[in-house]
Amino acid sequence: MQRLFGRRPLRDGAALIALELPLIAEDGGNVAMSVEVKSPMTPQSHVRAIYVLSDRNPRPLNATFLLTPGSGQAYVATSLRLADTGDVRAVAEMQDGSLFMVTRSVRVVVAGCAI
Amino acid sequence: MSPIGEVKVRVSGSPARGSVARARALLIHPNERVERKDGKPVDRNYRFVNRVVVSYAGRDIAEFDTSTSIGENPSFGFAFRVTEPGTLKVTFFDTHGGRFEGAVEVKPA
Repeated sequence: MQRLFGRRPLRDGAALIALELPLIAEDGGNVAMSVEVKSPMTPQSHVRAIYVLSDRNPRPLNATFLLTPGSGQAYVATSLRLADTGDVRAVAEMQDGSLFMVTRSVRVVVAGCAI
Repeated sequence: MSPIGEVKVRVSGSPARGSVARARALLIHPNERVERKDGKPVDRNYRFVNRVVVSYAGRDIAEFDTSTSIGENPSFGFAFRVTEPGTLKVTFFDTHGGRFEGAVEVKPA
């Protein structure tokens, strides 16, 4: 987290970010995930990037989604590989550089192997 | 199993002009995971998707930087603002120089 964001403050994004993940993932190799950030997505006010991180993966930064006002909605979805039970975080970076984070804990039954 | 490189792009519903539509893109690809031996990663050139570019009507609207932590046959959902008739194109790039493209025509009602 430090390497990615340095000392920039991370605010609580519970009111802004909806991070959808199963509570229990049967197969860590394929965990459906979606992130939606409330934002008007206008040139003046939009989400510039969404970072998805999982604490227990050997490489915690899973994906970076760079968005533009043309996206219309700050929404992304994909399937993750998770190595172990642990927290998954979504960080939204606004066009003014402010950062918001939400965290969800996921129980992984069968690990997505060494990722 | 389908061969590597097949891309499917799908827009949900028939979006009206000015609305925001959601779409999904799927690529048939192994998205190799890094092997580990005695806890250390085995060093070799793994084949996985590391960049995805979404463009609509000739403009890039989103770009995803991805890693091996995305599952096999990576699929991505995203949104876009429907402004005009045009092509929604999704291009996947992998670490072996592969380039896979899928497109769908968007015809706003």
